[in-house]
Amino acid sequence: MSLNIKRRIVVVVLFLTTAWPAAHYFVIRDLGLNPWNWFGWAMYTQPAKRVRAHAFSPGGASVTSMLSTVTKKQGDSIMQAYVPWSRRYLELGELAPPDEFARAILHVFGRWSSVRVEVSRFALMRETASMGVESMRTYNYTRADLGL
Amino acid sequence: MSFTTRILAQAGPSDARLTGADDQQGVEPGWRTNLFWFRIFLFMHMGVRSALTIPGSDDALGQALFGLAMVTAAIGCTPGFSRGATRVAVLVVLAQLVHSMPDTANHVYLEVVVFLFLALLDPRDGPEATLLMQALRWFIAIFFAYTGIQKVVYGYYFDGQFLAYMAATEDRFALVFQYLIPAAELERLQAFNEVALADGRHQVAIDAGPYRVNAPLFVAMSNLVYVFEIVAPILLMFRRTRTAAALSIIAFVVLIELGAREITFGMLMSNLALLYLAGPWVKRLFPAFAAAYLYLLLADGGGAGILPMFWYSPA
Repeated sequence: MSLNIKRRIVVVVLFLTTAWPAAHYFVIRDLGLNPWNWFGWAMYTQPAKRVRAHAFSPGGASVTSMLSTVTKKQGDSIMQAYVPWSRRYLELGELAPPDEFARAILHVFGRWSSVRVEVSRFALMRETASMGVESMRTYNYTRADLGL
Repeated sequence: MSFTTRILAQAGPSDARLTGADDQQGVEPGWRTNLFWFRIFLFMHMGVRSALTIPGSDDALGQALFGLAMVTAAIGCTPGFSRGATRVAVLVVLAQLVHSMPDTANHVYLEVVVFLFLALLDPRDGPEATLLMQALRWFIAIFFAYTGIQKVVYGYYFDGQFLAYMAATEDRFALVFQYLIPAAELERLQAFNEVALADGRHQVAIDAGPYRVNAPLFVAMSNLVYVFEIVAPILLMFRRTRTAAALSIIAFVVLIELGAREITFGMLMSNLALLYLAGPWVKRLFPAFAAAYLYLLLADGGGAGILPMFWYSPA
């Protein structure tokens, strides 16, 4: 390979390493990804975010309030689905919908035809310098959606 | 001279074929020695970084990549085999990067790009070595500038919100910023950490704040961070300010590591900045970095715990 071709490759790589971080902010913002990662040099720009999800039965009853009606093992199985998903959600945002969490809930509550999951992401708000809700999103799952 | 050649040469060293100043006797003595030792440093860094983050026994692919990384690092440090090992290293680090997604640290991406340049260009060949050094220097300047630009874009440094939050929630930052934040202010911020976790740690409530600090010196320092990160790379591009900029970047990295304590990244960043210095500083300081990495291995490599671990924060 000639020096000229190698120089062109270097220029292309340097261009990409310049262009991508410029687009990084918008991609991160739109998809809700973790800004510290993804090759955008945006580490230490904002504190780690937090996520909370509330799930509801078709009638609107909160899963949290119904955990007392199931066995500890069943409750644990829901948490075992929730914890890894919530970590993944902080990294991947909208690319990591709470499918497994919803599946675990419908598995435990066998009579429910569907489940609604409300996901809130909390972040340090720039204007107020306080933690607050950055985004909220509702996911509706039927058994058919999850292949159950 | 083409436009791109002229732009690349701005980072120095000058293009050998045009100036004839490509060796140790040129305008930047020792830069080729630096390239040689930087490559060895990078293999050492890859090996230690992999050893400090060995995957669990349930991750067979991660363990296989760890083994490959260690073998590649060992071969790469062996004179005569480095060139071939850099090509393998690109693939190994790239595979580690993909495997650890989505939680891949930015310095792994950085390693991939640097190994890519080292695999593409032969440091033993005069013109290629020149282009290699230019590529590395530009890359350092670009990513360092972006660390500052991103802080401006996100906007959490203007009133010191981000650093105040870190000082409130993490002891390692509180230890550093206690000299800039009045004790009563720090106490007020830390009072937001009210939610107790099952493992004994505390985290902030989801409505905690505001993380504003009544400490002008602290807010000024917060703003100085991104100003420096944007201005220093520009100063790297001019021969007269290059050395001062490179030295100040190293000092800045040391200051950051007092709080962040991501020592392996700090050492990688410092060696990249050393590439801007005239004189074979990468070679001269190599024993110190090797000793530091040896310490990290003995303290933390694979959970060795042979030496006590302090200060260092596993990334």
